[in-house]
Amino acid sequence: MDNIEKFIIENKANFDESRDPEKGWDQLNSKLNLRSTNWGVYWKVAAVIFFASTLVLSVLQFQNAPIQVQQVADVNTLEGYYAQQINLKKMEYQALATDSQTAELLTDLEKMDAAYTELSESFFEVNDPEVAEAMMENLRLRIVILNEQIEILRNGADEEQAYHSS
Amino acid sequence: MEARAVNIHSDLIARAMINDQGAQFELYKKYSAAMYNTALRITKNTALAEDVLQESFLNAFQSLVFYRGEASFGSWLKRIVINKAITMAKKESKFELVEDEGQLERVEEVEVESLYDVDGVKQAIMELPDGFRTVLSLYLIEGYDHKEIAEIMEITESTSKTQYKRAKEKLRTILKTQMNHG
Repeated sequence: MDNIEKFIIENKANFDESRDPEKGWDQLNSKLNLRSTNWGVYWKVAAVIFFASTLVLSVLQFQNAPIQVQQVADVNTLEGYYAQQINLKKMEYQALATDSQTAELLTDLEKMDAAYTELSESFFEVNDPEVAEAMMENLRLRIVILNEQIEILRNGADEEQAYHSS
Repeated sequence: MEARAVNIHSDLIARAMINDQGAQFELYKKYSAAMYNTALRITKNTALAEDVLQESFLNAFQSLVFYRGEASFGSWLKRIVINKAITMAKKESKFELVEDEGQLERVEEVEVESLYDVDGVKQAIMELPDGFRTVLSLYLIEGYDHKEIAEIMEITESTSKTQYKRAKEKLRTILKTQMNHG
């Protein structure tokens, strides 16, 4: 390593311009809010689609809507990503939880899986982007639930450890 | 068992994933300054660096679900910032990732390290052509190796090494000129 390399590496923390860490947040927050509003709409759509799915599916039997391959491919790709995440989180949860806790959570996730199956059947018939978004939200929500439950178990374990070591 | 990075902000990340504004704000406050500087070193343009920051955080919060915890959150975010900075700089101007500066003058190394000062070196780095500045910043300041830089910049590892060597030569030339005039 020569002198200039050594100098830069040793002083790299001083190479940053100082900047207010909150600068730009308001602008970003309004963009994020805009997105949340859209998600809210998707959730309403998802709920309506789910509860009306039986009706929708029976109507679809009389239709022959074309499927756009590109969109199906996108859904498949995302589904793969989320499924991988869910499996990793499930393993993480199982490693921390008791058998009964695991069984209880898996039952809840299975209910969400049933809702997902209904949505996906509907999507492959009509190829509606709103249905696709509802499917993705279903998968994301499962990850959120798993993360929250993992966090609860971790915090519980930390408290127990602290209690025993005090 | 898959190796996982220890994430000191796992609670914030989990809450940010469900659009908890407080958590998103906390993450923004922790990382915005460092990420802005990373973007600025690539784009060399303050307004563009601000745009890169906005787009990167927006993108990161929207795709948090893809964050697998294999790298720290900061490293994951930094890769988004760097990719975004390169893409946006290319769109904005004639941003050349591989420089051809012809034959560079061989400049002798300053023997006493204390002759360098941060402001002078910082200014000299900003005077480097885009590709030299990017590869040198990624290697020396951001801490990537040439294999990683090659992936980021979509060049070969040997091009990254050559560009880096030439970037250092150019930097020495600029510093020598600075010292002669200072």
